[in-house]
Amino acid sequence: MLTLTREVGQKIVIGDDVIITVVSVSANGRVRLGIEAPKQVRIDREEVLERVRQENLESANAPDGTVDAAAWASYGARRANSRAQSPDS
Amino acid sequence: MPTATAQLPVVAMELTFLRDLPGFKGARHFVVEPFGDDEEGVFARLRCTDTVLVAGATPFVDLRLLVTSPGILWRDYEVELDDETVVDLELDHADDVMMLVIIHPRQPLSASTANLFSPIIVNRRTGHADQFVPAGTEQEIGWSVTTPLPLDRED
Repeated sequence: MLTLTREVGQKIVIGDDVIITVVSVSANGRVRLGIEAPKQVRIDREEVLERVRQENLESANAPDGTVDAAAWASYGARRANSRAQSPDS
Repeated sequence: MPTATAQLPVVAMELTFLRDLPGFKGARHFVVEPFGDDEEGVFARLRCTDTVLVAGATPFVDLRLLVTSPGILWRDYEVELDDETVVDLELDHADDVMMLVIIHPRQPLSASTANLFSPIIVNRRTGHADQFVPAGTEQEIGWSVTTPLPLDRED
């Protein structure tokens, strides 16, 4: 891994169009970074994105027995009905 | 801000994601299609039409997800979008927005969960879409990646 030393206000450029700026460093070690990048570049906190990625993988192509279309349709119809009958909907 | 209650399309609708769906390299083009005989349109199938790779270079064949329009099941569901998502998806009018959340089907059905933390935001005018990942944590946002389905005695 490449390690660079930067001061507040200094920047790092990645490729042609990603710029990372060190915005501030607090006494307790928190670092605030500013990031400029094209919109197709995904910028997220690693631990948050990893959880979403893992959940997407587990949700995809569930074994056929798990997704019983009739059971889901029946469940959906019950929820739609209870919504229609509820006075506050 | 976005309307969570928008009905799912009755006919198939094509979506183009701005970025790969997280976890699936190359997954940009999808079709939202009716799911089984779900006449109420509560659930739909999100099917990918691209060649998809996972975990580096493993092909993932026929990527399909079960999705729902969250407002039907979670009436108080709301998402605070960031400015970048609004700009990137060109969400000029509230009517343009459709939200989909991904269901994690489990056995039995009542054990299934939905990812309300990270909904798919769709511009139904352009067909552009993006899975929104909030800047905060699940605790800060108040919605979990694995939110249980609302159930009553019949379920």
